Amino acid sequence: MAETKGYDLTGKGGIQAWSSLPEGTKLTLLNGAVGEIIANPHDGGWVLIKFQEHPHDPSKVGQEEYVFFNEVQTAAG
Amino acid sequence: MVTILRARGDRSIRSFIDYERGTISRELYVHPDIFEQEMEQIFQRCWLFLGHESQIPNPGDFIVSRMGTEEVIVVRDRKDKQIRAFLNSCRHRGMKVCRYDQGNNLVFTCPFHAWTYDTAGKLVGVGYGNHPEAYGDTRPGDQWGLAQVAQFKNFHGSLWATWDPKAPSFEDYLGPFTASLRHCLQSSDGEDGGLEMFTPFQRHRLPTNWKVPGFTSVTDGTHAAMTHRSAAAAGLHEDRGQGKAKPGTPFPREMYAIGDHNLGHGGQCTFYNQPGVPDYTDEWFEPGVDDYFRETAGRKAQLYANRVLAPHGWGGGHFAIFPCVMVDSWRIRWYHPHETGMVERWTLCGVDKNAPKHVKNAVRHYVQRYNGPTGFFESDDMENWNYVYPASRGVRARKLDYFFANGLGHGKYDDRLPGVVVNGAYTEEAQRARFSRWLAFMEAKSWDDLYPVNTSKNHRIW
Ligand code: FES
Ligand SMILES: [Fe+2]
Repeated sequence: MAETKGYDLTGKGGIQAWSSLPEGTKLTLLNGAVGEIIANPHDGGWVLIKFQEHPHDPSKVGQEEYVFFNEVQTAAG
Repeated sequence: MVTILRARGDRSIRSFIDYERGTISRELYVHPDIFEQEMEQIFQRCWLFLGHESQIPNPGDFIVSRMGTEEVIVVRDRKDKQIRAFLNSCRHRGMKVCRYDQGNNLVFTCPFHAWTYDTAGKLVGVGYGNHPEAYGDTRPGDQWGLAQVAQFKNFHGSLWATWDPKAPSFEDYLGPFTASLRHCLQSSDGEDGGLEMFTPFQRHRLPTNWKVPGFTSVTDGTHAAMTHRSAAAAGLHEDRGQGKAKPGTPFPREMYAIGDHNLGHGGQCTFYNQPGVPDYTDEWFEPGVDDYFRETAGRKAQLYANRVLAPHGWGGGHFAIFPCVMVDSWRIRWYHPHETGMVERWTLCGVDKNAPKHVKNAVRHYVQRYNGPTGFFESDDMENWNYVYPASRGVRARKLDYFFANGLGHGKYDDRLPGVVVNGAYTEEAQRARFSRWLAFMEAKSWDDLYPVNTSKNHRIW
């Protein structure tokens, strides 16, 4: 299994980390959904992800959506 | 709608123009009520110039331009590559969404509450949009995208927009000036849309009413002799290569002051009386530049072997698209009002997009010498424009009228540009035409009263 790097999104270092998360980073949202970053506008608030799992709405799998930083639980790349 | 100006009693706007004497009250330049009405009646309705497509060649590229007092984001979408224009004001609570002059974006994120819009203006994210204790079923949908202009036009690379869905097509708005504008956007070999623009916009902020430079002084034939005499004294009057230009074979052409009183466009334009183009004359300091332009002029001559050039500015002349876009064959200069006594003047200068680097450099140096903060000529103009306003707006000064009677009564219609009044090159025909159209806009309830302009109504007042 490929090594994954967990990003610490807490504190002021977390803000820096969030703003520069690279494409391919896997995000787990607070609602349990999982997706991969496909673009980061580096605005400090948003990233664009593609859903890989969605516990409440399976139709979202494969869809792209902008995700705000406070919806996210963990990030690993 | 007719506004009453309390400052000078209950009078209609029309009564501030004396068609017989050829004068205009200074109130029209200094009264804030007039300014507010101009923003509503003119700048909300007219086609306005935004910039050039060469400024945003790649998906996600944007520039922030202006329409009247307001900023617009002009952006090339990442998905369909189309260019669109949006008001730079967040739909949530009105924050300026984009605070850069130009760049490349994935999304435009509002720094206030993080509503975020994609490059097609769609609202694609709302801060707390998915939070269990926030929006829920009140989360804003597609109708909360950025406010888009009502109509947009890419005319041979130049970008234009209007807020008014009832405005006529851009070509109908230009009328007989369509061919002239098209010609000015061609590269030196006559290829349509063959220009690219030097970036960024050159900008100057001037403490004067927008109509001082934008109406009164655009294509102002009699100002140059005195105003630019200092530049001539400094030896800067020879444009590109001092004393180098040799006269070519004379080409039959005449320069006139012209004005379309029903569309508002006009200026100092040259009419060409036979097919073909004038001989190229060497004029550049820089080595190799004349070789390039001589070659492209030859190709243009072939293209125009059986065609007559559209009338356009030449030999110091320019024409203007109403309300205040001044067009030459090498630059576009236009005005953005800020308030009654403040205007910004923007300039874009073009060069053949396929020209070699040494030619682009030479042209860039030339436009820098001439225009902009490092240029010499326009500082001459600005000194006049800036002093006009304070010298005109005092309680005594504003009771006087401006003189616009130069050539009044001597204009004639000319078959070569139907509907356009032609007059002596150094008359004020173009200024009078602008005010005929200005008055029509200020009185009209909607575009229904303004168009079609040449058939059912004649707005010419003098
Ligand atoms: S004003 Fe833009 S998000 Fe609130
Ligand atoms: Fe606060």
